[in-house]
Amino acid sequence: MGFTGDGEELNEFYLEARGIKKSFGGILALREVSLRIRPGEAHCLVGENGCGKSTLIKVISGVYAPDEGRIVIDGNPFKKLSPSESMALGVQVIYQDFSLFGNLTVSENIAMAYNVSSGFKFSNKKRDLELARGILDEINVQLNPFTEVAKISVAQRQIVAICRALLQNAKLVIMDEPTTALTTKEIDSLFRIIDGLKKKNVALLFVSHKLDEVFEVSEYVNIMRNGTNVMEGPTSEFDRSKMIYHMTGREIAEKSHALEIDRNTPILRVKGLSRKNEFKNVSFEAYRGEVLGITGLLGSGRTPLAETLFGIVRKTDGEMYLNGRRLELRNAGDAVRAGIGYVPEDRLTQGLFLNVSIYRNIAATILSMYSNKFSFMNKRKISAAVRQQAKGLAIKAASLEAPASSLSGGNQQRVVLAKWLAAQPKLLIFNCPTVGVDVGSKSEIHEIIASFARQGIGVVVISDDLPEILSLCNRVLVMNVGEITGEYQAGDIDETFLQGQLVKV
Amino acid sequence: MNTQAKKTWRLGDDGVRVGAFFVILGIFALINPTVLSLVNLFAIVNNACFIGVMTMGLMIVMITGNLDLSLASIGLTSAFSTIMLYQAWGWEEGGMYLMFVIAGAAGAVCGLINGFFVYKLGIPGIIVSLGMGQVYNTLLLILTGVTYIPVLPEGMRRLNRTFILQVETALGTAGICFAVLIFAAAVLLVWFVLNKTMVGRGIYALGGDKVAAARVGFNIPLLYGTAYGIMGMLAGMAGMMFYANNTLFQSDWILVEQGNATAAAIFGGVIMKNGKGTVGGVVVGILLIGLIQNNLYLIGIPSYAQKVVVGFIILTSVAMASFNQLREWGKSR
Amino acid sequence: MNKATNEDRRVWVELRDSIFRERRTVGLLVVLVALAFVMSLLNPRNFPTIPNMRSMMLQMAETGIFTLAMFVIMISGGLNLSIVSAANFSAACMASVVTGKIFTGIESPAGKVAVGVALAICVGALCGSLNGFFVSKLRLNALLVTTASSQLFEGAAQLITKGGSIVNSQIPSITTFGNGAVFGVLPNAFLMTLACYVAAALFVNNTKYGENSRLLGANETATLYCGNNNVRTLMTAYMLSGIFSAVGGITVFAKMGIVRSEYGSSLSSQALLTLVFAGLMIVGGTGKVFNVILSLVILQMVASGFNLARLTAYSKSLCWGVMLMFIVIMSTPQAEGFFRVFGKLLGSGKKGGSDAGGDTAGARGP
Repeated sequence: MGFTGDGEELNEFYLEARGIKKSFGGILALREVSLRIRPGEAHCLVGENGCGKSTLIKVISGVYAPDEGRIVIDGNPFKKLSPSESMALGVQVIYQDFSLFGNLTVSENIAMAYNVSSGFKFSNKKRDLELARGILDEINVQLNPFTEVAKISVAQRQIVAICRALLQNAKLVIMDEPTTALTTKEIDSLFRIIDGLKKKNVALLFVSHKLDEVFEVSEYVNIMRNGTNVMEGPTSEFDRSKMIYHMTGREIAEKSHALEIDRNTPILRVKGLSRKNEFKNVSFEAYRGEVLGITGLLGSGRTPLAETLFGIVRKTDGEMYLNGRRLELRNAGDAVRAGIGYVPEDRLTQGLFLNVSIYRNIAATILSMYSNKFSFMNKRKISAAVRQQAKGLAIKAASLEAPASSLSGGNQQRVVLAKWLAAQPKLLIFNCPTVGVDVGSKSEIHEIIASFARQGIGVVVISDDLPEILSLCNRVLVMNVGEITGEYQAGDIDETFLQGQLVKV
Repeated sequence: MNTQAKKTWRLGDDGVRVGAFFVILGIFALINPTVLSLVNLFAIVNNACFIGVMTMGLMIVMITGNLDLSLASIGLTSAFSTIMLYQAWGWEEGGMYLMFVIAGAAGAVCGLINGFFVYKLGIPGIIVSLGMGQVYNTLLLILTGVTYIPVLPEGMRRLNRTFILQVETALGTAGICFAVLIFAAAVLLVWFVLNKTMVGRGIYALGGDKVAAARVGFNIPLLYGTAYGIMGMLAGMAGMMFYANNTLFQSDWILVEQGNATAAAIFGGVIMKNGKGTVGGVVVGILLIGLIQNNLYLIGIPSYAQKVVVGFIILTSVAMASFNQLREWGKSR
Repeated sequence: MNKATNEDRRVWVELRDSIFRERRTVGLLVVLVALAFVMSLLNPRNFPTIPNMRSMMLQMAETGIFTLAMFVIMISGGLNLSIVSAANFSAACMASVVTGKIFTGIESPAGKVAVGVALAICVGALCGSLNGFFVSKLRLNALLVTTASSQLFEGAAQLITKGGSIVNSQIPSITTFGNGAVFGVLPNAFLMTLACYVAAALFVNNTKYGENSRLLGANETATLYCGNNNVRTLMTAYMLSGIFSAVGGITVFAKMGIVRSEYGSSLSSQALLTLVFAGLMIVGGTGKVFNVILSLVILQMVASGFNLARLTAYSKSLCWGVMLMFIVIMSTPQAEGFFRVFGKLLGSGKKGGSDAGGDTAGARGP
């Protein structure tokens, strides 16, 4: 605590959270977390997926009430905080979906929150325009205020969201994985804006697991693991390996399972594959018996690549061969018929039908396979296939008729795997296969994936979870800004090296 | 991208609409020049009033993302109860204005009831409107047991024949009738609320992203209340306009008009899913429906062929508008 | 001794879980039986009689087929507001053939009927394809498309009937058939509708398009990621809906002997009520054909009850509206929450479905 000349007590910290505990239905998400942010400080919350970063953010912005603990904002203590209270004190959250209105213009979006909180009864386009132009100039960004927000890019929308927060006299701007959907150039712009914020004494709390950004932007780091903070300090006191060590709690990633790799016949061969604005000139081969990993930061093109391989989106150039046969995929149906399966990143919206029974979820991909030419399904065959997969993957459920929503994350992922196995694929593409899965199930799922490779199914794993990549895959391709920039044998490298390769331009 | 860029007046969607209107008008005029006569043009405006008031009310609710098909029922019930009330009190001249006010108020109450179900219980607007529509329609009837309307005061009956502006032309007297004032008032009201008040901008926000609207701090019940309240009020007033011309309690005609109101709104560019729609565009839509409804016979198309033409135009414009929307918004990946 | 009671308990738990899962059907059955009982008590002379049953079945033939036309679309998460207009359009086409206005070359009445029916079905399928095209290929909102197309179809019907109506005066056997009954009890029209229900059940439960429709209604994105062909699924569903609408039109024409372009404006909302009652909400995905049938019968009994009590059509409409609102309100999460609390107070069983150790779902963890 510092004192000014007249004996007034100065708060060293703008926001202080102490002893925060939060659980959801018996699962402890946060246990004994504390966080202290100084005014104008760029503070970063680092941790792996599932460590509790997002929950902590929601607690300090008032969305969740903590079970235990205290929050002090700008000298005001709270046991229970509401979103409007935290907003009134200058805490502004920029959500991952930005919460903007696509049908309204940039200037109106920027001015909206300010207008509402100021209690204006009438709308004034000129006032909105002045406010918008003002704040855009302040952070030195060019944006046409008359454009509809639905028509601007993701990076530009983020800027609009930041401007809106700033207009609200933000003293702390919270960003959750801000560079998730940005290209490298856009990331640079964002960093410049963040610098500007720091100069205006606006504190910044951002959540990230991308170490390069953490080092570039933040002054203070708070490392979380399993719902609590394990280490904190000025960024300058950390180096990469120290940070990784605290994030993961281990020194080195385990080495992969031994596999018989047959290099003679590639199951998948990709040549010069490109998709405009996403990735270009991607060429590689995946062999029988091997687990191939592709990794890269978000924005590197890895998810578009996955979706192009599966036919969800179309390539703009290049060739694809499956077991030697050339493939022209017009849609995902073509891919499935050719024998390709895709386990998506977003399990809840892309991978599962939550309110539908486990049985029907597993059967979803094989409807055509077991239907006759009058499109009548052979229910007996489908039933046999579903039950075989459910048993084979040891899905823990009281009954296959239960809805998929009743399962845990790990079991849900097994359902998705079962669904694809039932389709008898020749190639399986996985996108972040163990995100949101508890630690125990994680290694089980890795073993299942490795067993696929052993069975002769082509396996390509796309992930940003480096330990996962290193322990599961035999060979790793690194993607960066839409191109493959490196290929390594998993046994030859370690996590620190790989992390470094992710951002090398 | 330039912060200092001036607003560009692109030939946006509304421009296309206005253009389409004039193109169709032109085609009609080519076939039968009397389409362009003042008598006819005024007649188009006159006849568009009733549907216009309904459409204005419908539009504001559509922007929130809900369709409401109970406008006709609300209109009939409110107006009917107003008339019954007046009969009980005894008619008075000049009470015409008050009748509109009361009908509007009754309609607003019905609208708010719909809005309550939509907001508080999260029931989709169409279902609420289908259910409550039946209720409004029949509740009053059953309670009063009446099926016809008593004779209305002179002023009301002459609503569509009292002219506020008359011009003598070669083809006859061209006149704008009083009902147009009500239409104009409705347009002005909706325009003002949607464009000049924060509540109106909030209604657009609601249609754009419900969750975000709450996050930004809008008073959500107020938004729904305003939208549904105005809708009900305008429906009530439209109902009053209906009874100025009809003595039967119910008529399938008003259901037809409700369908046309929906068509006018869709043609006018209201997109429920995204909360889009401008008053200008909808007015053009109303005029277009009015044009087609009343002038097809002038170009030799019999009345029984009207609906097909209207339906075709609507379907095409729905397709084009949504297609365009998808294409434009899909560009920013 | 212990083993026996444990076994009993397990059976009880499974039974309770299945009842819970099928609670809609159970509830509807209970209401149906109770209602039949009550109505028979209230009106023992008129209600439980064969003529009344016959009259109810004749009505159900009409309402049932339209409910079905709406059903196949609702499970995919959409609404089809054009079913009645498509029916009128198809019926108008058939009427034109039957009265000799088109296809004048056909001499025999049987031929005319055959061609008329075939034409009506084709027209219905065409209407369905149009809807299906806009919804599946152009990805437009079903409600919007069908609101617009209903205008178009009604207009087409109006065009054919020249704004008036077409009366079947030439072939009285159609009307006889339409109002006739097998064994004097089961109306032909009812059997036709029943046949359609069987077809619909087959479609929904046994074809890949039916199952995919349900999945579509549950989660459209996931169906894309399964590689399922949504375009073909939706086209099939809408075509089927159109065909059912056509059958509806044919039924009405056969029954009444007349086609009017504006017929049946309240049939759409009636169909919607029946389906909501049967457990479908616009969310789609859920809904069993059997429940729809139960719901149809229940609502028909209510309607007949009204008729027998000589209440006006207005009372019936009012009742419809109130019932719709009631059912819908009861299905909201708020109401469900209320019942759960109520249920806990009564000490009834927990929400069954899975004893999987109380797992909680969650992808991107807390």
